[in-house]
Amino acid sequence: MSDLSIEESEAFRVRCQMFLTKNANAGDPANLQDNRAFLAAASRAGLAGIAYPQEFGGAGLSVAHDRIWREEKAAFNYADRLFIISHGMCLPIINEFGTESQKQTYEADMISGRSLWCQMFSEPGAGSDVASLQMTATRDGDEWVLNGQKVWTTYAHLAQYGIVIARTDPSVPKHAGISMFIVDLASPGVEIRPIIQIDQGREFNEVFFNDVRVAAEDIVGSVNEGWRLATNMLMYERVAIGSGQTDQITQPRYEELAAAARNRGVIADPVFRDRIADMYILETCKALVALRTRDEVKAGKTPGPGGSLGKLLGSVVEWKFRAIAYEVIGVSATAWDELDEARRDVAMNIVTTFRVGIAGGTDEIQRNIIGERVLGLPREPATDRDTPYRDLLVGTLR
Amino acid sequence: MTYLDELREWLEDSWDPELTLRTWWAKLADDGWSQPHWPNEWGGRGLSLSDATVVARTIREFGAVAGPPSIATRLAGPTLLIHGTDDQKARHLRGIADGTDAYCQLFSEPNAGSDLAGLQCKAEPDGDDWVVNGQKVWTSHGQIASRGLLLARTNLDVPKHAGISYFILRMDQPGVEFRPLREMTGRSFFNEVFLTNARVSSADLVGGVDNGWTVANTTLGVERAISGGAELSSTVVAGEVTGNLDRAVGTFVSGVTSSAPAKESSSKRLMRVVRRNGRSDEPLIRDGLAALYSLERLIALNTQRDRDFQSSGREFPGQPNLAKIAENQAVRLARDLTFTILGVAATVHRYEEDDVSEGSVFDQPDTDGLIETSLFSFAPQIMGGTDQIQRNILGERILGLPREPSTDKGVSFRELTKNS
Amino acid sequence: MKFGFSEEQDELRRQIHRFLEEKSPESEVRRLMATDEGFDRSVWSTMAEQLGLQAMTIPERYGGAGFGYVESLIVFEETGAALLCGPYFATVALATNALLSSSDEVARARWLPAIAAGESIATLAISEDSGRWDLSELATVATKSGQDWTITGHKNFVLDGTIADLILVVAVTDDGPGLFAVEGAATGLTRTRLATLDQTRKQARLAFEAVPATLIGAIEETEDVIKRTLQLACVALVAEQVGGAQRVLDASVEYAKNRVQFGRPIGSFQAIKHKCADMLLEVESAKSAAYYAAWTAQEDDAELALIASLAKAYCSDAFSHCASENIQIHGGIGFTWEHPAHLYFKRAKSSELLLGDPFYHREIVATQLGI
Repeated sequence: MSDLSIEESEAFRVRCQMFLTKNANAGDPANLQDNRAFLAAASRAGLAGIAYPQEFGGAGLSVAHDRIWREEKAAFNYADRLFIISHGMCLPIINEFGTESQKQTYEADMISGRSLWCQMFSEPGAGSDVASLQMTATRDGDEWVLNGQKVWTTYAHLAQYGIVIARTDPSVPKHAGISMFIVDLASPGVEIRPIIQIDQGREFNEVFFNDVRVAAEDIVGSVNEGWRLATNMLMYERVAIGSGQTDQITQPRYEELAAAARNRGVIADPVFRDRIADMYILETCKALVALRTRDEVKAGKTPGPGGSLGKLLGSVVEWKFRAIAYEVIGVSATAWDELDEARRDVAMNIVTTFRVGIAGGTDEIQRNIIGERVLGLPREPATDRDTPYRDLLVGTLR
Repeated sequence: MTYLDELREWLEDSWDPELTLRTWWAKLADDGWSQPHWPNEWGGRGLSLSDATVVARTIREFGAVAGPPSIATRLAGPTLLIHGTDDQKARHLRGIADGTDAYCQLFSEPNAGSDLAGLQCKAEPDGDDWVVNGQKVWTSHGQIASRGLLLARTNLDVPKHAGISYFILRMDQPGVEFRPLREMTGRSFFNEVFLTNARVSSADLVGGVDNGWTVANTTLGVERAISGGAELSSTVVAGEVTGNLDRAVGTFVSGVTSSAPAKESSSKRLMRVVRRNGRSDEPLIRDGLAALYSLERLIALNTQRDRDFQSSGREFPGQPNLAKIAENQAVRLARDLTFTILGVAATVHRYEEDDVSEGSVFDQPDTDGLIETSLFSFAPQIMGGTDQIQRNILGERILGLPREPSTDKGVSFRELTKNS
Repeated sequence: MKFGFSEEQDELRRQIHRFLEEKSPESEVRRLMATDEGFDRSVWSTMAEQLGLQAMTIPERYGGAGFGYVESLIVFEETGAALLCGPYFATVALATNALLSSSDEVARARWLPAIAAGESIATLAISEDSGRWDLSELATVATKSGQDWTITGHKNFVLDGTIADLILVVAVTDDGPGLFAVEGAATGLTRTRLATLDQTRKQARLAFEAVPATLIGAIEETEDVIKRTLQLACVALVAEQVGGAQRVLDASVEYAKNRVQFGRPIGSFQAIKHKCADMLLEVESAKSAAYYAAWTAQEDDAELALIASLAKAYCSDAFSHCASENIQIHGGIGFTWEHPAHLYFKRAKSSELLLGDPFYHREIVATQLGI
């Protein structure tokens, strides 16, 4: 929906562009201080928390403004990249479902970037099936005591606060006995351990909770309402990751392959040419699907299925890239001089392709969702929907 | 003297190409050379299955015709030997061994494909007989069969597997009607069979009432075990209807003297076409052919390994299922390659032999055959257990992965969700 | 770049869809595919008179409707979904595009009006026995004698070659390949009907024995004219492929929802569900590529060569793959002649090979990208 006139849109767009040109490429997106500096500058320019209330330091503008801001931002370095979860998931949930007191306490710091937040849903025994989570929250006076373990917590090692979901009632079916809490990560009993990834990155962590105490007023929503809120947060996640697309149709993986093939002197080989052109075609189609969905939305029509396909298409692209990359780049993708960072990056760039098909909803789950919600195919018979949690086979229990 | 020496001596004495096929097969059956792997008391010689294969090959190499082939000997015989009463063996086995009876399989139905146990064809008791009503599909050799291996439901009030019976149905009766089923190749190898008040004697119920699923599994198991292996017999079609029995047996001698007429591999066939079309230098075609050839070699190696395991008493669990899946991959790859290699020439294809228009561009006898093979290529991944079912079997029975939750176990057939 | 269709365009689609539901249901497809001519003349006339379909992309000054390639895509998407039997693709996507791509005003004025009125069936003959779609190695020659030309040689894989009133032929002259017009009933022309894998699309082999022909445009421009014609023909063909792919996806999903085995619809099994999801990915990607190609053609964008081949490669693979999976999902019944699944597979495979296969087009993409 667009409540903005063309002039207003353009004016705002120019304002964003000017700010971003000056500030977005100034720092290192992997550096927390630089991220904060960018956000501080945005605050000063009235461009922090575009659609959030001014009362909390937001710009108090509309959703349409926010869309323009994201579109413009996408053309630059992701200068506040470390805040993707913080702003993309935690902030919206607090803003929409937090109590007045919680908003007063937390929202301004969230918007300004003074506090960085993380999301703690997944557990070692609860990945695709998050609702089967095992972390417990037990009432003790006017506190909750949390015990358990979370995993895949993005940027927990940098964060001050986390949104946690834990089980408050094991006697009801799994979805019905979960509550959501705000946790101060400096609390006693919280232990954060980094996870090293296949591509040597370190964005994720395990977080252990050992009798961690949370004040009663730090519950988000009501007791046992946590699943509904978590579902909302996951929808925000999809928007956060999916937004910021431009009108550009780009083929980055194709560019890498073409460059690699030239370097290796195999660009004239017909088999390689066919594979590399195929990569170009696939990436182009992926971009076109996204564009088509955006045009449908802009035209006010019910969008077709394209919007649900982006993540899976991305994974298909990555799988194809990995297969072709090893063929084209050859053995130098498997071994390199320790000091040759460029070659190492190439190799890591290939192994990282496993990520998009697993994180944020595996390819198999995506296909289930597409099959069921988009195509209307029937669900599988469920064995655990109505069973009390305590009677379920969950996680790694046998 | 080994059995082969005995066989060769017998062949010298007995072979005469002027004999009718009927007489020749009767001779083979009389002296146990038709189904030598059957027990002596039932007309065999008690040899092993692999020795039986050697017998068949030896007979062919001699220049004679081996025993009757296909559904009767491969499926009906072994099933009866395991589950039949002495009376049934006495009445049916000889006709199988001497080729006077041809059999067809009446298992699948339009609503019971992958879920065969969900079959709906009914058999109801009527005195000493059963009256059968229902529809079968994918029956090959339907028109020439004198007997059918029939699965029908005899109990609706128990879970589906537990209410099925197995019959030997006489096919030449008014209640049995065939309709050829035209396939996407244009041909009609298969039939639908409509059973309307067809009758079968309770003496021809095999394995006991409601015990048909166990018997069926024997049939299906034998089918799988043999389909991976060598030719046991000749390829001459049996039964009275074909008229073959009264022709001179010499007319059926195949020119091939080695074991089983070797089927040319797809990659070999395609390589010939590629050379003739002058495209053998194209890297993408070479890449595809190399992939196909490699897959074919791997399949052959797996088969060899399985044979070696078996003869040394070891097991290669899941091999028949693996073989089927791998073979289907090769078939699909061959199909794709065929179209790539032929290019737009593949859009030209004659379905009817008498279509007088120009059916083939390059004056090559192969071309039409390749297209028909490509069209038929959809069948193997559906029939005899779809690829999806094969993967379930491999996952569950071989890899030990848990089964999916079932919604129809323990539910009486009458109460099941079914296709209407 | 705009993907959305206007309200008028949506209405056009509804109209065509309704028309084809009535005039080209499966029973008609089966009836016509078994005939030699492969089309219904009264339906052909109705298409022209009631809906102006043959006239769509022909400029108004030749009696056409003056629509663009986006509208044309809509029509081809629907005809492809319905497997319409008839010379529509040959007349509109091949012959009309060739005439429009040429600079020969006289030729256009002479032949387009009858095409627009549905009175002239037309086609284009490029390929010879080698099955190539480029103009190298052509053996059919055009010989000039005074002001007249005659053509001698063979053309193969000519869509609707036996029923065409007008046949545009590429033949080699002393100065390179030229584009010529030949009357369907011309002397010296022998037209042999071919038996086709896809019986819904008829083809012919043409033998030319000093057949009188009219040169279209300048000989020097022929290569460019044919290149452009094939690009535009690809834009139409990918639209057909997308229509067909969507149709088989719908069929698979419908079957998966209704076919019960093991006590539940087979679509509840992940193996089938995931196949359907993957088909959707392909169909939506193919659609986006096809729509983009139509827009590129409409805007006469310099990228047409790249995008037409990109779409042709992708949509061909997508339609063929979806049509194959559709058969598998249907199981045994998908293998029968009686079920429509094989008709779509055969159309998919034939369309894949027409105008160059995916390997051919990916090489064009590679070349256009400058790698």
